[in-house]
Amino acid sequence: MKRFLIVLALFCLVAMLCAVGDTTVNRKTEALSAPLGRIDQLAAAEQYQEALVLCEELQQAYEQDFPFFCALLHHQRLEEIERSLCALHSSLFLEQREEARAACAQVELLLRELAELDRLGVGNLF
Amino acid sequence: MITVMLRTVILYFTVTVALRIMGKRTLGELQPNELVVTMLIAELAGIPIQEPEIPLVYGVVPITTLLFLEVLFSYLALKNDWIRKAFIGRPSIIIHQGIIDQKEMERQRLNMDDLLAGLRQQEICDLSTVAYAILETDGKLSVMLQAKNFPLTLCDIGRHPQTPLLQHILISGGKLRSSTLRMIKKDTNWLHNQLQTRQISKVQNVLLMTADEEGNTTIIQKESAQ
Repeated sequence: MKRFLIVLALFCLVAMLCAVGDTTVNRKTEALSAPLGRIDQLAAAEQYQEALVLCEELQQAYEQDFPFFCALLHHQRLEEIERSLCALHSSLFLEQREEARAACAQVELLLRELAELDRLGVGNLF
Repeated sequence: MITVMLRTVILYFTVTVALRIMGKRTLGELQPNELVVTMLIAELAGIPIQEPEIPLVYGVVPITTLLFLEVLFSYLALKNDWIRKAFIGRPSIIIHQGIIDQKEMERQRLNMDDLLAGLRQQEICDLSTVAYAILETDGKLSVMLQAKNFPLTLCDIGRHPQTPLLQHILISGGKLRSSTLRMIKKDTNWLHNQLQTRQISKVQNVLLMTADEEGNTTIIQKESAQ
């Protein structure tokens, strides 16, 4: 009985940490996705300097969250986001409108996938 | 991460049911649920070790879930007979009062070669000497011989020897185990007296000292101290 209670407590703790982890991943990816719409608008309007500032802020925010994501998510997914962010930055720097908008959409999609790949749902369970 | 947990639960049940359907033949010394946990834990632990790109939590969370399920179902099986039957199964009587139950053998997908091999492993070569053969839930074959084939015991010839007392290790490799001394309700004075009667001055000079509950001791001195 004692062993059962210890394991039950351990399981509840892990389940709680998992739930907190999932919620935090969702919250962080949503926060990271927020400026992407604005960056896209600025790139479409060819206001590259402003977009570049926002992109660098986004990269910094991503770097801050990176250790947390690393502990919970497959590193390959994170590397893809890093590459896309670099592509976005380069396109804005080189003032390539279409490439910048495409990279922006890719980062948005990858961040959405990051939140959705482990989200609790029938699709992910089976 | 919760998804990983629930996927583990689904896989646990799937593999357990699969093993239960496969039958006792596939088990070999482990209960079905124990085998499932052993198989899955070994696989789960290997993934994050082999691939550094996968976070450790992908191994830790499912392993914790399996640990919980295993302890939970062991506990439930202890309390509830239906759960025990569903998860662990029931032993199957293959030979009953010397008669082979062919239907049961078929149900367990056991042929005569398997049965004879199981008997040979118990050092029984003659099928007619067997009264009962039971295929246990862990896949092992338990055998009871016919009364006339029972091995002769001391009681059969009117001898009733005393059951030997359990020997506890008091000193091992020159180190005293105080907990054992307390268990046999003796103190260090008694221990030193015992050593002195064998002309041993220090505990460190003893390779092995055992004692039973009545205080009978066996002492082996270290070669370097002789």
